[in-house]
Amino acid sequence: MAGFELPLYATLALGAGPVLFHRGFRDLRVRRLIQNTPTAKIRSMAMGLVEICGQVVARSTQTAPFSARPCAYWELDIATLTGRRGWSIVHRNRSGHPFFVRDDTGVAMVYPQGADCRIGFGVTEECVGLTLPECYAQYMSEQDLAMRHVWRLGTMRFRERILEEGFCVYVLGTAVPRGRVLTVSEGEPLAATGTGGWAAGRVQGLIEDATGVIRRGENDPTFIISQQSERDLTTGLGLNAMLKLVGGPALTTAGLGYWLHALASGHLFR
Amino acid sequence: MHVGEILVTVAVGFLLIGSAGYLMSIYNSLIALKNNIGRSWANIDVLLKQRHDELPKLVKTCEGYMQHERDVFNRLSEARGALLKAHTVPQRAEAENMLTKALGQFFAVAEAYPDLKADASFLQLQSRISELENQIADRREFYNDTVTTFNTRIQQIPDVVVANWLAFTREELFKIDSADRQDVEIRFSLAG
Repeated sequence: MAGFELPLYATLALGAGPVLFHRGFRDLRVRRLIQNTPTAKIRSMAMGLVEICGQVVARSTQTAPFSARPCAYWELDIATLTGRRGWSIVHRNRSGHPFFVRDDTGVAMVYPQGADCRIGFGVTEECVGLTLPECYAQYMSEQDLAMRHVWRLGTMRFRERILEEGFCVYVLGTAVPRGRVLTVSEGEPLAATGTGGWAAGRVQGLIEDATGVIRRGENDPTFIISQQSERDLTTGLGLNAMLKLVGGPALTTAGLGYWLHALASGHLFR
Repeated sequence: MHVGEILVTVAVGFLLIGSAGYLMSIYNSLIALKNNIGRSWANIDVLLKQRHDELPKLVKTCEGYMQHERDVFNRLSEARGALLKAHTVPQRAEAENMLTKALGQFFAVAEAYPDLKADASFLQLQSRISELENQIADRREFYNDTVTTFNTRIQQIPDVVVANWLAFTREELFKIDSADRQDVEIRFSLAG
């Protein structure tokens, strides 16, 4: 079995190298984009690609599935343990509900669908599948995940990241004008989002005050929601880009070297 | 071909592609930055146009109340005239600063007319112009940030090489007139 591993890794390295190399340039492009885009004040942000910073204001009250904390937005993943201490993500989910971002000049609505969320994981727990805590078992059952019984035979990892009200976030995305909505039945649409009573008026006010909606653009798909500062974000992306631009060719060269050597010597799988 | 030679060729290939890609990314980002400056200015221009559109309405509303304040009306008119003649960014910036100052003086003088201050149209226009001026100030800050980023980038290594090749030069900031930082001088004309 060990004889197959080296050629397998060499092939993987050969294939992964160019992909990493390409991704390195992508990270570099995003880094440049962040650096080149000054932070706009929400009150006067222009439509198109914008960068804003502000505090999260929830549009509707939501409860994070694992931690049960009230939040504006949540995202989670479930992974199973594979052979060599590697995790394979088997399920991802996100709330997808819009929320507001407020700075000292105004409010903007953010539609998080398709965003690259760079938020720290609030919950990360590894458990043996057969003795899962109730919150995880209940979530899998509610979602009716077909493979959940198979996954529970091994070790599982549960991760959840949330954006709570008042969190400071950095958003880079495409601003579009706020849609004009004709309210046919007052109250019902807000009630459907789980917001009722006095909060309905607050949300209605925020929607009316919103300068625009920030979402993933059709022309420029860059859409980042991050809890890191712009400086940390660009530093991280720069390091990532550097690693991928150097690591990609190194992997390819190593993989190719192995295969060329093996073919030249005629000692495959040894 | 020897195995070592193939590997060196591949490594050199990556190095060449990497260098070309890096230069291309600098080129693209400088072009994007240059276009961002144009876009930022256009975004200010939209608001300036909106402010200009409000001026005739403001003059029309106030004329009846401020018949003896020809001086402030003249200044507004001069500022508008200067705007029509301005074509480059520094000229426009200067003319806009003149208009901002004239408007500041106009509203300061209007304070002395209680009937005008109680006029709903005047209040609405004042609020609208004030809102536009706040937005113009924000966008001017944004424009200056974009220009500063561009000016810094074209002087830094390695971007300076590509910038020189493209013959990019420093862009002008949208500066505030030093007189705008001072308090508005209010001088009331005597009726008659």
